[in-house]
Amino acid sequence: MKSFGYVAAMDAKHAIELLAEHGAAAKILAGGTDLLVELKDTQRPPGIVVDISRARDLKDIVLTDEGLRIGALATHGEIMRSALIRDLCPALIEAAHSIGAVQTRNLGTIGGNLMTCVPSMDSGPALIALEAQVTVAGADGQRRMPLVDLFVGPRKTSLTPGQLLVEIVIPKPNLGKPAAFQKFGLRKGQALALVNAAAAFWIDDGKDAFKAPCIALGAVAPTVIRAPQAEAYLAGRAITPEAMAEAGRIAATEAKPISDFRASADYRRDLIAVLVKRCLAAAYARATAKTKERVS
Amino acid sequence: MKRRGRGIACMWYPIGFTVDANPSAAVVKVNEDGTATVLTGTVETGQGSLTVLGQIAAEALGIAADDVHVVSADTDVTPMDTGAIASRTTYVTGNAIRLAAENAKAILFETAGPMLQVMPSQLEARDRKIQVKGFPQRSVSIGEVAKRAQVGLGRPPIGSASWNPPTVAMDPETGQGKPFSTYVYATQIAEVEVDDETGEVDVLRIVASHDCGTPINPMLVEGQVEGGISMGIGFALQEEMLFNAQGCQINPNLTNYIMPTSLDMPEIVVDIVENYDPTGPFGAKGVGEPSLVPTAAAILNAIHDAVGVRITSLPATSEKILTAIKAKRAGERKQVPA
Repeated sequence: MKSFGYVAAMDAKHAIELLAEHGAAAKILAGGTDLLVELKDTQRPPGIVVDISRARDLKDIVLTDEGLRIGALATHGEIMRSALIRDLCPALIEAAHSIGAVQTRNLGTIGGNLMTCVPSMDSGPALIALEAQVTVAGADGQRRMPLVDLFVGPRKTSLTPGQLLVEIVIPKPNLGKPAAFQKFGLRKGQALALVNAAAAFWIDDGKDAFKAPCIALGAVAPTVIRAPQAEAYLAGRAITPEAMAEAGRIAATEAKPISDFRASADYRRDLIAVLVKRCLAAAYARATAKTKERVS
Repeated sequence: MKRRGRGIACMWYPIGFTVDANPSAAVVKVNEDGTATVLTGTVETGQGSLTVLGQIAAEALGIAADDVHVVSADTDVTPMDTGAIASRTTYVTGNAIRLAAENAKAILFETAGPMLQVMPSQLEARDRKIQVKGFPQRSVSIGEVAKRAQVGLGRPPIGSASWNPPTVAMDPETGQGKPFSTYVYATQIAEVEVDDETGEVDVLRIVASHDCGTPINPMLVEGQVEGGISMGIGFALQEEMLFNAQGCQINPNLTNYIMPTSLDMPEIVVDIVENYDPTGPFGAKGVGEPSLVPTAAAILNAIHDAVGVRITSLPATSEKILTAIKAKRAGERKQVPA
């Protein structure tokens, strides 16, 4: 391992000051499940590691007037155990549960998973299906943007040196929106996603039709992407297994999967069609189970 | 849709090669407190072989397995061993330890004969005692006998021995011979669920019925079989070394060289078919490698039973299976006249 500098931030404000001070030389350490592995092998270590893992004010999961705020430092394990998330957006728990192993989930953070920005990240699709926003802070203040705009390419986000991802916000109108996440890996434990997907939609009362459908796909393009054509096909359409299957087929044409030694692009497209269909079915099952619960 | 299937596979596997020298040697020393020390060159790799070898020495000396201290795999101290290879440790090294213990016991019997006023041939070693056969009340403790042998007779009770399965040269003209000393047999049945939309295989249950001669430590036999099955599942469905055109491995890490995790393991039922091989130590043969031999074949037969496709190259990845399912469906569609 090559040597590098180290500073620890006490809270979010201190972290932003440190990032402003060190600029492009700084690399942020949160859970460390990606960064530490990288530091061991890299020939070009960062000038300084800014450790934000002690900044407790970046960890909270709280309900506000805007929606559900998930601090960037919330670990996958904390997300899995959050009663708020279980009640308001359980698809995030399915995604968190599929990440790495128990140890990774205890250390790894949702902010770190998003900022590492690998196409196969498991946190991205469910958040994007729920149209999550992110808050980014820098020396010049805070701004809010859609999560999709954070992703630029593999391991590349739109954040500039000095900026910090502070929190993820699921907008209030989308809390409780039926959603589901599915992942296909090459084994059951500690698998990278060959394809992952999430879908969310409201059920148009009375008509039993798809309303405001939202589909997100991972590992099949340079970043996590939406599937707008599949969404447009579903909007207003009656909820049937055939419509779910057709949306899956359309989504498969919208992705740009690669062929590599893990799988061919054709196989990945087959998986997209199946996973999208199953996400839609699981979200619908979740919605109808909830309705039944309310009636009884 | 998930479809279930079952498959059966059988195997035999050779134990103790005989085409070339295949020796193990051992030293067994009986101590004045009634315990024993075993020196063996073999290596414990987590399979529990030193426990089994200690049990063999204990059984031969009539003492408890706890009384045996095994010193292994230190080439400054221990005799040479051909290796923890070819599922030979219990069989070959076990035989050497049994013989070394018998040699040490012969000194104990010669010492105890005059003490109990019988011929050495009338003695047996049981329950940490040397006793007269048929008259267990006429006995003296092994520690006592060991002390007498050392300080009275001046013949410390130490035995050493080596064992080599009889080498049988191959007939240079016909290529025939007797390549192995003995064989073990097994049958495994796999129950799987195949997702016919993704090709994913979920191994639900494996029932493994194994012959290993006398199971000296049944729980370790179960452990060996379960471990072998995990390797068999990797062999069947996941593990593959991939190389680029320059011959460099492109998946030289455990992220991309896919092996089963604990979550990929099915329920396993191990059935030990007990029998006695007269050439093995107390009838034992071996079980290490044999445990993974039938697993892949059973799983692939189960896949065939579930979705009707025959995969003929390993690993049977989900992509390969889905491709085969699609080809089968396309073939069926062609056969239906319009």
